Amino acid sequence: MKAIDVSNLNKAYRGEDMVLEDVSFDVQQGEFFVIVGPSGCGKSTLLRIIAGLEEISAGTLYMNGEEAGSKRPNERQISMVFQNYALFPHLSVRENILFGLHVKKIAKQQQQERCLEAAHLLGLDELLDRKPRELSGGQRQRVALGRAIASEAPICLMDEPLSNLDAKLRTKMRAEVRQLQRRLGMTMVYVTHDQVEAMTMADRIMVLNEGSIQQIGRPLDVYNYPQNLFVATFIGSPPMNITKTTRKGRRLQLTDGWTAAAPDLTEDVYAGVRPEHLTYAADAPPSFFATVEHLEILGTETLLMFRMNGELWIAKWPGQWDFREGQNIPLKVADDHIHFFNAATGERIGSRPLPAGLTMEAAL
Amino acid sequence: MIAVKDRLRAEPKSRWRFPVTLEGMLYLLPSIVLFAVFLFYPMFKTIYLSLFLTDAQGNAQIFVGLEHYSQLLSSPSFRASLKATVLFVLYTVPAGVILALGLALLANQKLKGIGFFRTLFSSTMGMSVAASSVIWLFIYNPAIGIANTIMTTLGLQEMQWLLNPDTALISVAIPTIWMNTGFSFLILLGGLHNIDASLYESGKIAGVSDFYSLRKITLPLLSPTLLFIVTVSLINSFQTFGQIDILTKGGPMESTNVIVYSIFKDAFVNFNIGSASAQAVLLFAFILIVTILQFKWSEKKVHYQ
Repeated sequence: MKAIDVSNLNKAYRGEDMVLEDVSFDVQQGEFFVIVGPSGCGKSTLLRIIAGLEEISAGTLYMNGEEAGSKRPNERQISMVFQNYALFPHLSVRENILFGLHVKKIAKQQQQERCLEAAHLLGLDELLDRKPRELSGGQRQRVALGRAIASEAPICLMDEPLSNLDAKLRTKMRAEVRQLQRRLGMTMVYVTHDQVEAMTMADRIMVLNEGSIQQIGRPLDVYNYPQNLFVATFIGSPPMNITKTTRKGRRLQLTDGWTAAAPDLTEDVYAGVRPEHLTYAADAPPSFFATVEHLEILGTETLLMFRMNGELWIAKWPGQWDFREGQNIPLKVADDHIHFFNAATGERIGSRPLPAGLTMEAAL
Repeated sequence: MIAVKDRLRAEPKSRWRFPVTLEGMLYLLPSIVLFAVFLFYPMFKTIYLSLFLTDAQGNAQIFVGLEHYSQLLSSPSFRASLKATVLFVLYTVPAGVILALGLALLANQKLKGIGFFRTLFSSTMGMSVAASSVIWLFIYNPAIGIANTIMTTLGLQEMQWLLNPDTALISVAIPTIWMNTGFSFLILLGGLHNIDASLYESGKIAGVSDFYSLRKITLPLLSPTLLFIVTVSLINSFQTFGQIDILTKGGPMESTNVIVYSIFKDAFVNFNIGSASAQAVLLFAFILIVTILQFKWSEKKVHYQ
């Protein structure tokens, strides 16, 4: 069943600045749906529209099968975790978790049970009588989650909840949030600018840029078959390497001596290669030679940077490779690891279309 | 301090060390000098003078100990002026703060043209006490004032606002509230701005009523600002002088003879500087006690973030 169904949604401020344009997607019940995009792409606005904190300019919004665009936030059966956690500094952890439950006419006894349950789930048992300022960043984050859990709303909205934590804690909380969502079976709409969070947490990802949807799909589908240049360079770290190609008869030339079979198209074509698909050609005949410009050895992997037609390209290899800067090395790319994009529109040239009709229902 | 300590650690064998306390005092010197000249010296001089009979120039003549104080405390005139002061504070402070809070809550809404109202509500801050008092003198004028015009339009009796001992104090309190509102409004609006919008949004999602979020979110988080405003208004109100001087001169029948005005009259009209000093000391003690009580009372109710 669809928990959230958005179709042809537009959002404009003061009637002109288009923030969201013709946005249509659905979120299945129990799904972890991540909206990802660079800052200013409209992802937070979209989440606030779902929460009912912003109004829709045009289009429809259905939640749990009912029209929800005109409902008040509290009638939408949602909980929301804000980027800054929105904890009340003058209330204890317990009061923070229980805030607003009285509205739903829940007995005092049951409120306390819910609070203890949520606190136990999040390891906050010892901290219930503390004030937010006496907690660490990670603990505050948990209190915010606790409020969402205690409300027992079927849909939980999260607006960049981990972005105020340090890198180590973020990795830990990432897993915790994901496990919690699975265990409680709640529907999650999660907004982030961090593509790593999107890749690791999501059942499905929606990539948003400048107010319009770029691609919706399972993380690996989005990674392996990016629909356009934006998705190709936004998802993946380091991003996909892109270069312009020139047509040589029936083949495309990427750089000196490196050609690939041309797609059936007359327009200009960009070619893209993921950093991990640029391999060192020890025995095989190399695709091309590159001059090492810079080397970053991270212990488990090595990042090798070089110029390709003036663009900075990065190759990512597992292990520790010790080259000198300025060294000329042979590189190899398998033909089926080259992505092609229409230079004019940025759209993927369909060497491998997405598996048709694959929805969440099928995947689950 | 840290920098000083570091330096001391770095040069343990330097021949002469500037004592840290002395160095600190040196930094404080400008404010110590200013406070000493304009606050501490007058304060101690006032206490000193309150123990003496003085001549017309204000020079101490005969030591009388606490006689001024005992006379004051048994004098019906001083008690009346104490009562007038307390009443005046009760009239002006709660009403002024509540009015400013109401206006600030209104002006904090995101509405079109709200900037105009914000300017309007805070505009009395830019007016001098003298100018405002003169305006109100016209408003209260029994013959041409708009106050009586309004009364007759509403079908009520015309009033002798400033001339009737029963209404004079309230008639001075109203302009005072009006004058203080601008400042209180501006500070409270600033306090409201500092409250995180996501707290209200969180409340909206939970579905709490507006009144509940006012009581449970706004007021607790505004409490430090409210405490500041109440304290400042209290002290200001205890020290009211300008509007009394212009509107009523302490009359009629001493009904608006608040302590500061009484001090002024004793010192510069009756040249009874010893008694005036004693009154000033009593007022100081009174404000000090009220402020301490207020801080004690509000300690548990004010939430600093």
